[in-house]
Amino acid sequence: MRATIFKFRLYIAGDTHNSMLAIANLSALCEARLPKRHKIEVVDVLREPKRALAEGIFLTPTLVKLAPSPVQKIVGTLQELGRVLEVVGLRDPIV
Amino acid sequence: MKRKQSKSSNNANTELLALVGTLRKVGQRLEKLTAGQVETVADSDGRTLLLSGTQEQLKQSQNAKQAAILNALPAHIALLDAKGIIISVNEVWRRFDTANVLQGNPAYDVGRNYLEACDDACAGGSSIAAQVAEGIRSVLSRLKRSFATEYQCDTPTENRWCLLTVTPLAENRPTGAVLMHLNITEQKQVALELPEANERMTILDRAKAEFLDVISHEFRTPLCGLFTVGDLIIEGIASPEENVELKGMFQRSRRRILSILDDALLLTRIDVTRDQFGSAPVSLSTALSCAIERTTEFADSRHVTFVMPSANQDIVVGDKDLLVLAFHALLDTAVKFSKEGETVRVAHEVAADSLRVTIETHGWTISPSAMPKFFDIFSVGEILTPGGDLGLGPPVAYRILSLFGASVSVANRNSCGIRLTISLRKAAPSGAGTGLLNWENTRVAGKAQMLQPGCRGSGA
Repeated sequence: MRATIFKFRLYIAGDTHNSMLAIANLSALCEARLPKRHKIEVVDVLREPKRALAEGIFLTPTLVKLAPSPVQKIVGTLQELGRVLEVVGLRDPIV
Repeated sequence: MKRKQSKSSNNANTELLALVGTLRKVGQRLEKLTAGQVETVADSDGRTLLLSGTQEQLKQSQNAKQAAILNALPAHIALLDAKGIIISVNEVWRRFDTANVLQGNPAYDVGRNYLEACDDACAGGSSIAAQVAEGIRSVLSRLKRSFATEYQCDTPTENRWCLLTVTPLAENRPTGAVLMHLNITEQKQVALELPEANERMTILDRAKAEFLDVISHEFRTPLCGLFTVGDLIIEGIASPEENVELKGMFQRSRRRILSILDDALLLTRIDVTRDQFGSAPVSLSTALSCAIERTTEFADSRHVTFVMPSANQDIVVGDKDLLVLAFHALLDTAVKFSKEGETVRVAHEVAADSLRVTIETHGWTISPSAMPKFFDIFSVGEILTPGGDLGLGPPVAYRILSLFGASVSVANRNSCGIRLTISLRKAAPSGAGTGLLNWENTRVAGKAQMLQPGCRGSGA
């Protein structure tokens, strides 16, 4: 049985402090909990504002978990690990 | 009318202040709602707005990046405004400027008009300053897209060269210029040295070509001998007596080829890795006896004999194998300048800190034109003696001896033979007195008398 691949899209604004923090936190979380089972796409809203609008993103940084369903969103630097795990559905360590 | 205008203006100001207050409150509220973790917000049309803190962060981040790039460059960089006033400089410029001020020179830091500084220098007689000022003005007024010039800026201790470039700060607006001084002394020196290096390379190339020419010439004679032997063997026409003669010719040719190869390789080694040759105390008697042993067969074939010096305990500086090679080459040369039945006299005398060995022949002399080139590699083709081609012997001996601070010279002996004089450095005698010979001042001929302790088999 193939392992579930987690797909994330992270909306950021340039290389500002909070955006860099969000990228670092998400990468650390994925390496620790989803090694080789994740894909991260980073979208810079300063470069691609239309993509943010299309997905209804009004704040950055915002993380969107695209797969597995359901799609979930979380705003902020992703520092609160417990809440992030809950939103992306990784509360159960066996997942 | 005026009162009406004033009232309208007051209303606009009041509204403006109210809007600014609202903007600040909205920003603060957004920051509070998002716990300071959000940097941008977008309206329903997707227009992104940076929150005030983020704007400041981005500005600082961009400034830091630009400064880091400018500071990482080795060039002296300054940004000039449209009037030529310095508005920003990089770290290298700042350091140089500080050092200049400490040395009593005027500062060219932020706020100073660079064009005026150039004009001042121009009034003081600097032609390059005038050229630079003109270049900067042409870029600032967009008459030129860029300006560059090389100039010499020597210090009291060294020659220095710089490249000055001026480029516009922005392509489409006359907002200023970027001024860059780059130290190009190294490149300039290389460029100046290049023709000289090229000439040296050409000379070396020519020398190599001549060397190969000489070597091929040297190989031709023994190879002819080998081909003759080969032809006669193939045709099978040689009688048993002729076979003995052919065998001798074959052996001589083989030895000659190997000797030329060894000499050529040694010459190359000495030229390329001169510093890698070590030296140690060597017994002069041992080195001479080994050399004579190697030369005996050739001397016998010419019916030439050696008269040797009496036994000695002298120790010289060198490498035993190489010194034997050098003496052998010189003795071989002496035999070639001797007529059949003659003797070659070897003698030595002691000076304060050196030893002199002389090798004297009684036969042919060296022609005046060949004398100055006697020890040159490329002269062997020209110095043909009735006794045979000298090969690489003299240059090999000369170079070996030079490795150990020794020397060799040659002179004609009053229209009767030649004299080779070798000067060697004396060494401390401790631990090197082994293998000395018990020579008498006696005539030596034939192989039987020449087997000496410490000598290796003759390879040549």
